[in-house]
Amino acid sequence: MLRKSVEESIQSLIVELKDKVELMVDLAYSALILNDRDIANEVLEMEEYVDWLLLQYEDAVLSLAFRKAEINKLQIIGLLRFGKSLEEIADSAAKMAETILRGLHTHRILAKVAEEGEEFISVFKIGAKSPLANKTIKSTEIEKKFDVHIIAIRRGNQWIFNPQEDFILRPGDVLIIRGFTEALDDLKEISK
Amino acid sequence: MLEKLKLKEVEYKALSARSILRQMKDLVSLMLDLAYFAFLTNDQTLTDLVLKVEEEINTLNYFLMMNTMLAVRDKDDAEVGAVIINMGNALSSMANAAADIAQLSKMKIAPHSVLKKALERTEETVKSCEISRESLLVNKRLEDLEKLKIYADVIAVKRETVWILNPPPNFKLKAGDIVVCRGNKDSIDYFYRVCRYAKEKR
Repeated sequence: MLRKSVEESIQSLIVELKDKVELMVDLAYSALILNDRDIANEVLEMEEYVDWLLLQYEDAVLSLAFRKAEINKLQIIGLLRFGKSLEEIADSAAKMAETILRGLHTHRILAKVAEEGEEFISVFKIGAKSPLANKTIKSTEIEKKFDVHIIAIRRGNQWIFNPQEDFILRPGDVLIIRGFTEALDDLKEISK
Repeated sequence: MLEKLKLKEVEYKALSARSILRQMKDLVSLMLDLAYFAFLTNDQTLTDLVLKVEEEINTLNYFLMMNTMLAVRDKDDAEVGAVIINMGNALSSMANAAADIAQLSKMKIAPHSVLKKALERTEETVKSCEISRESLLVNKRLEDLEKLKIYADVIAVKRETVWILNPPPNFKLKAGDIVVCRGNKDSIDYFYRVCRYAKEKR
């Protein structure tokens, strides 16, 4: 019974690590494309969070290893290295985003590199006077109107992924939205 | 024992930073998806291919550095150059980390069952499926998939013993092909149903 719960927490940690790392890579590109300090800061903060996640994960993997004498050691090594590699990808994403915070300007070249997809990801902070504040995602109609997708919301230290339609937006919430550039300017305006 | 990978010799070639970076970025995203898949399936041929892609990314990074250095004329250029070189290095490191994952299978490390289960639960997943004789997809080109409302991205195809990475849009699928694709759960599930059956209502 107990063993099962350790395995389950390892599973959830892998899911969270991988989803987070992939989001970080997308956000790092976005930071470079948009030359955006907010996103760059977000990536750097997430990198610290990934470090913390990795520690929880390694802890859980070792609990699993010590629980049974006949455990396959190579599989445990495999799990540990898998986590470490994900963390290295997160580090690289952070390294990419870091240049923005050093005040180095990115160049048209980088925007063109990502132009092909035409899709962008950006960060919006809901201001106290924003028309979006204190409304459910559904009633703001931003997803429908602007054809965008809210990937994640950060409230305090908590991340909410793929928020439900009835999620109520609050001032101070940080929204990560994927969409087309035209819509992003309008979104920046109404989220203020 | 691991086979030694032969390193390609690098000699200056005039290329644009933009095209090099775009190639590197595409290859890195391909590599990441394939690396998870190679480790999970313990496929040695695919692992070798992933390692080859890593070597290609590292080679491209040299071209990026050389071309950027030559393009710098003043201090403004130097600042942009630093960003570009930094990005190239970061992409190279990502490729390296992905290669480490793929390489686990070369060390006779089998993936633990929790990893298999976890990787099916992530937002984006990578899966493979064989195209049956009855499949709707037989003789369809990859560019036709969108019309069938298939949005999953085909990243590799194994035909008999040969792997084709990033098959082009005009690539025609055949019965017996093993198709590896990436996407969210719904689009992947739908893809796998049409791999097997002739008709499928969504």
